[in-house]
Amino acid sequence: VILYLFASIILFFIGLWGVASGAQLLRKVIALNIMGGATFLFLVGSAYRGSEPPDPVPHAMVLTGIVVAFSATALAIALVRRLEGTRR
Amino acid sequence: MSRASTMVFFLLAAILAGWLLIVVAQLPFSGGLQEAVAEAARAHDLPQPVTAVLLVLRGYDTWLEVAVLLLAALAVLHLQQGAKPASSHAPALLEAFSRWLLPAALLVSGYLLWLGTHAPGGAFQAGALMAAVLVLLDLSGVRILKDFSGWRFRLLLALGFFLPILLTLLPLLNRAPLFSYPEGVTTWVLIVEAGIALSVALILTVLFLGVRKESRVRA
Repeated sequence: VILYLFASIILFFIGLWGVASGAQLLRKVIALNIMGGATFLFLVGSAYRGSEPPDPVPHAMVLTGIVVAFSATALAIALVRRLEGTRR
Repeated sequence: MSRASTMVFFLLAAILAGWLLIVVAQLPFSGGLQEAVAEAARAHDLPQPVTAVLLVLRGYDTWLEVAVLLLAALAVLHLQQGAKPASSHAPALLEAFSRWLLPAALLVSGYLLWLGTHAPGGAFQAGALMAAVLVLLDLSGVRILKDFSGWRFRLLLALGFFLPILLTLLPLLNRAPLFSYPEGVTTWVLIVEAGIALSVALILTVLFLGVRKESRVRA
């Protein structure tokens, strides 16, 4: 279990670095998505504890989070496209 | 961005990550909320704990999540205004395959919706599946959604937002709190979830096609 949590932190680090250092907007959007994925991995990983049934509350939160992350990504990509269109 | 600032960002992020690793390793784990959720699920006759959390314990959250989706779809629709869809020709095989796939996918998404009351599944999964088929149909040249401006389409888009709030306003008449379902609510939940699934499917399709259509115009 702790392995998943550590992996999620490393993923979060990669995403954070991508957001901070990337020059292109699309790269930043992807990096934000990686950070979001890391957060979901952390939540799901923390819901599972040994042999007990996993905690359903983090699962529900991740389900909500995935949908919101998807809509935010779609909006971000639409904005990026629009920006590129006006720049040309 | 210069090399030096990239390195600085790398170091800062690495420090944060190391700190998080140390904190997480020491994190105390409490028992979790399984017991409380199981109790609520039993009280409402919903054997699937995740569905119980989504609709009974976090009703506001789920409802406002649909609102977030709707807002994103509206924003994408506004951003792509003025762009006209170009006609595209897809391989005949793909088109035929999509036509065959449509009824099967609708059946499966209805099954997922029904499954949500007692096993993993539910409105968002069913909606995502429907959206996938709609997108595939559009990609293969079958235009089901010709324009996004008809009032019927807009009504369906907002259905997932208004149906839950209307249904959950009813308990107020019995002096029960908002978003409290009566006992034994499987049918009720199914109606709410069906509305949400339909809207989610259309919203996800709009999000995808809205982003794509503009690219097609410029290409």
